[in-house]
Amino acid sequence: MISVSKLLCDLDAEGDGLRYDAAEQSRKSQIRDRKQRRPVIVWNVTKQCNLYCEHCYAGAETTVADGELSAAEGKALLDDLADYGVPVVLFSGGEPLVRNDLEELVAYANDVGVRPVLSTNGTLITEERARDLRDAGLKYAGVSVDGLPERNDAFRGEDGAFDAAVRGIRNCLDVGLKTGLRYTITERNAADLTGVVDLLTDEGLDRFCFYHLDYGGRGTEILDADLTPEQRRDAVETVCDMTRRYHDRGEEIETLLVGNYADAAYIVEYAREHYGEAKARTVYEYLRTNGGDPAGERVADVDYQGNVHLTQFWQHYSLGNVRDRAFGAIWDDDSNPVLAALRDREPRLTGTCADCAYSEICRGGSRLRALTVENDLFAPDPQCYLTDEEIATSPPAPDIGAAD
Amino acid sequence: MPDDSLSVSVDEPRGDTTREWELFVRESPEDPLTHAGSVSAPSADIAREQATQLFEWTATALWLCPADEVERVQIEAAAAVASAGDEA
Repeated sequence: MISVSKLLCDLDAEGDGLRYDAAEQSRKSQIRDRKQRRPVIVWNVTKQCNLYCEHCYAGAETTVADGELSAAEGKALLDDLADYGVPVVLFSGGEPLVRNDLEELVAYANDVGVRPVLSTNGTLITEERARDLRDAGLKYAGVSVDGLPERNDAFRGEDGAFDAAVRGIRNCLDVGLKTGLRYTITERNAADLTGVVDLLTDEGLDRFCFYHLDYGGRGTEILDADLTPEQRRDAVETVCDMTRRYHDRGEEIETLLVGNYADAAYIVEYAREHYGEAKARTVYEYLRTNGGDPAGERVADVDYQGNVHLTQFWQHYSLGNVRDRAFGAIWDDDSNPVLAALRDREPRLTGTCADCAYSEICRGGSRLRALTVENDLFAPDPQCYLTDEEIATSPPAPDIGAAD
Repeated sequence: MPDDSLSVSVDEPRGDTTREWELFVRESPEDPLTHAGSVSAPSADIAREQATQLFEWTATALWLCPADEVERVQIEAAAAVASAGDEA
């Protein structure tokens, strides 16, 4: 997760301590200490969903699946995660609001000291449920919208889904719940990006997360809708330009890019072009601390049956199950060759990644996409859009105290 | 007192519409087969293909078996989540 608004416009946010070890420089309260070294957990509390989205990584269905963790098991999992020092649990699905014990689980996470946040399609967030979630201690709700109304509804398989999501956003904002947008960029909706931000900024939203398509679940069925390298570069430039434009007129929106660490290199180059070498060096240092693609380290997924995955998108491979073994025991088990290799991946990367100037802040990008497209865990990420010149360039020189 | 006998049976499914396959890897001929997670696949052939994609850079042997054919028993303290399921 790369904060464009932090890197380019110096916007403080609560997650900076997790992303850039920048808690000391921030005026916002921060997530700190040993928790920074533990993964953020995406917990798919259910596979059930009221919508049927084309790109759903979880392959969600409209009916309840067998073996869903019960509320008692979920609380035991949250105890387990708290004992291990997990900083954040992202309640996801399916659609988490189809579970009527969601508020109970959110409250439990909050009580045991794991920061509860939510990923939702927003369509089931009534004012009452927004208030209940807030009272339960929910810290943030990320609502998925993937285009202006017509395109979003086609993507999500239901007429009126856009309007229902906006009602959900309004209900969250009305009760004072911090709320943001989740937007997966594809060829079909890239043109709507700024329109959606403009529209939802008017609703009072100030946090926008843009996801690159990952190749898991039903996402693998729409690879033809993924952006070309040129389109991806344009989309990322649009996010950077838009962020600066908003900040220049005093509207401090928070914008983040998720799921493709070629963005890290691009933003360094963007900073170099628009702000100069010193800014590029600062951005590079933040991104070096951030550590590049997080699979196997800073993010993990627990699915509705308790299977532990390398990321939320990597659902067809599981490291183990929390019904068999504590989460920390599974996650710390470096006898698993894939887990160990992801944590020491740089020497194994091949192709353009092996000699890329930006491998330190990217770490090869998505290993899942490389595996899906190239059948090779260590091949270059097929979504990389860096030019040959950028791959061969010199990253900003470290600041050793010399005057600029 | 926690029960330290192998008395907790874990019989919840590990897969849903797609079958889950437990995966064992041997990295060199001298090594034991080690459990290395599981893959989701509708058939043994596809499970083998997926496991090969993931581990062929390091494995000298791969074994796969359907998770729904595996008996899982453990001591009570092995995983609090399973014990919570028994209490529910």
